[in-house]
Amino acid sequence: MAAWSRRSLAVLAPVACVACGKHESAREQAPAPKLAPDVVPRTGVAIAVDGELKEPPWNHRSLRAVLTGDDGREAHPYSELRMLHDDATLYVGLYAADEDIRTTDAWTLTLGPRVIHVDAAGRADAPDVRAAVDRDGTLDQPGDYDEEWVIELAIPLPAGATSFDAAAERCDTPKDGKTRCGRWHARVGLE
Amino acid sequence: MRAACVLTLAACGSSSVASPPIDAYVDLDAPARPGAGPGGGLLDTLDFAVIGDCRPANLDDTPNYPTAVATQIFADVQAEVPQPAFAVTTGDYMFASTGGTEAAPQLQLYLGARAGYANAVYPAMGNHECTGYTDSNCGPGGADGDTENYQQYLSQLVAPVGETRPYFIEHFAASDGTWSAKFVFIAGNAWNQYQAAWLDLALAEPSTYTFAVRHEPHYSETAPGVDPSTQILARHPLTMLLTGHTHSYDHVQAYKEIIVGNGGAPLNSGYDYGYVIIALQPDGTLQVTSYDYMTHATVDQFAINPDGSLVTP
Repeated sequence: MAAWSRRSLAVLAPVACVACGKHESAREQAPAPKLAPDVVPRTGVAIAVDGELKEPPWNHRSLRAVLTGDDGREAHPYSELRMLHDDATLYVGLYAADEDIRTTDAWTLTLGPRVIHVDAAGRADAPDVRAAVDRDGTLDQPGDYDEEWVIELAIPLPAGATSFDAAAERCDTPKDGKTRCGRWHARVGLE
Repeated sequence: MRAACVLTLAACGSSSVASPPIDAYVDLDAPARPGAGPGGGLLDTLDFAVIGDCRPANLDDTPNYPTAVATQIFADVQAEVPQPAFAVTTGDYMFASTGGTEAAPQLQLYLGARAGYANAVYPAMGNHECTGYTDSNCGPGGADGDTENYQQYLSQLVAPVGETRPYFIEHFAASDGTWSAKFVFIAGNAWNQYQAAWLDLALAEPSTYTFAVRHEPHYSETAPGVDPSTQILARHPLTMLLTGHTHSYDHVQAYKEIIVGNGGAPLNSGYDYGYVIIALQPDGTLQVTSYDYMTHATVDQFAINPDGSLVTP
């Protein structure tokens, strides 16, 4: 597994954060330049790890990736990843559409040398990772139909880290009994 | 009888509800004009589309509104042969915070996509047109009041079809007088005693076909109007209940229900985005066909009788 890299991302310098969307501070209200798709933007506001991706940078600045199935098309059920960072922390938002939310439903997240599992109960298997979940639906009640669950993670960044290999996978079994998986991977750099 | 009911409603109304529903007063006949428009209309045949939930995955995420999917779906419906006379939508057109400013721009994106279909579109109200929570209740008497999402829904989607409330009825009839159809739009997230009384009246009107359109399916019991309206529906003839909320497609014959929630919102089952066409057949049955939005492949197809029972081969 590739390690966190301290290699300078000179290519990112021209697209340094100038603005972070209309809801952010006045200092950052100029039009935001588009970042390359594999760049994790720096957040200009504090992120509360509560399972709700409500801070404006999640919508206006984050690295956003839609997981794809084996056919290369958007995975069904729909899964989406978002990333932001500040000096010390990588923030990850994981959206999972899910008509039958189970405790055993989980994401596998690979970030450099780290592999993190986080489930629909909001539990991450790493003690230094803060995790929160927001569910629209009921946990472990197959008799009804659920909508979605969202995970918000705060993961400590190694000092000086500038780039790393990232991957995400989520498998789910809807009510038709067929297990389907979505995946994403990329080499990402920190803005 | 109708006048007595209206008088009773007015006398029993709480102070938080301004007036009884106007539809309780008016004649329930189809408007005497060709084509679908405000109130309904006269049609050569009953052929219409059902389109489901369309919203981004995240709150206030207007930049990632599913415009492309919605545009494709409405273009598909426009290209259907024969072209459906009208469309009904099952609710959830936004994912916007009630204290924010994203409801209007998200509806503008939706309407931009919807403009690809030329005929009338009648919009049911979803929970996202209240606060976003399934158990939310907006409008007169509702605990959540008139949120920005609710007001934008009424002004941008409901007013253009000539209605003023989130629950309303549209009447259609055959140009040659051989059938009639009523579409009763239930607002499960703007539920109050007047809507309940109105629904009972509206469903009592005789018609060949009766369609109820409600955002939440039968199992979404936390929505304030689901169980009460299900009980009222059970007292009247029903051809089909059209719902959404679950971002998928499903046919639940036990409730004479199809769930059409795959109109652009994040899919939560194995089905792709798509839409449904319901078309009157020469023998008076209705053919229900669910289509994939990209391939036009038939996902599901069945036929029902006017009383909602399944046509068996």
